Amino acid sequence: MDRDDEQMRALLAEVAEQHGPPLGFSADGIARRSRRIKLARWGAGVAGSLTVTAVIALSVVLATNRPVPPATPPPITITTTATPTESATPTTTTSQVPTTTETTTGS
Amino acid sequence: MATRDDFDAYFAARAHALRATAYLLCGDWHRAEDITQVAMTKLYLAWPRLREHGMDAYARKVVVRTFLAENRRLWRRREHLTHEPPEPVRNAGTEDVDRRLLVEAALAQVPPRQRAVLVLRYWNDLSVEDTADVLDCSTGTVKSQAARGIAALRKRLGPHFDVLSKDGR
Repeated sequence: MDRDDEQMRALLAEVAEQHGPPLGFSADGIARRSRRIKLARWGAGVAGSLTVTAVIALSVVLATNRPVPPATPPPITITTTATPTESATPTTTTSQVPTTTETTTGS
Repeated sequence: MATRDDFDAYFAARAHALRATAYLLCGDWHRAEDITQVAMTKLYLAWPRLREHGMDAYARKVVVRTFLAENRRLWRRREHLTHEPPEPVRNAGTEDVDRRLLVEAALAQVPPRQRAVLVLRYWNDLSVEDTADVLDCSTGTVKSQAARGIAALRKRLGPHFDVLSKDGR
């Protein structure tokens, strides 16, 4: 197996140690390209954050400004209580919001 | 922390070696240059986070993974593997054969993942464990892929395998 290893090293060196064409890019080019990528990533991050913020704000606005249904009058309740009056007749009270009390005294 | 000057120094020292690795993997200088450029760009972006001893490993990992990813993407456009060498003229006379082209042609016939194992193990001199780390697979897979790769190369080169490797260095 060691012999195979040595043979493989020799074969690959044969191919890799040739001189290819001159390098078509430089460290400056890599730095410029990387800066553009960083800027694009930053832009995408900001755009994403703004979108999320806008969606949240819109949901809050829609939730708080939901149209309120008109108030319905509460049901009328009639209670009859015995009030100590001169004639000692029962008193009928009708209550409604705003609460009004009518007292009917039998004549 | 690593600085831009450090990156420039690293680029000057290692760009050609990285391109040679990429060339061994893909067998095409233009593709090798593209792969190296991608690797260098990713290295620059990760530069502040990398420790000094991790730069080479990171760059190598990017080169190999970019090559394998491109291969997966471009599989429709690649030549299909056949049992017969595409250019039988090269098998004709041993004296006239350009050794480098012969090895390149044979290497191109080895499946990409096996080629990656061979390049990492025998060109970059990585251990089985480090190769497994780069390729994100088990050490057993590296060993079997290396054995298959060598067998494939030996089969392609035939009797030239021993002759070429003896005269190679």
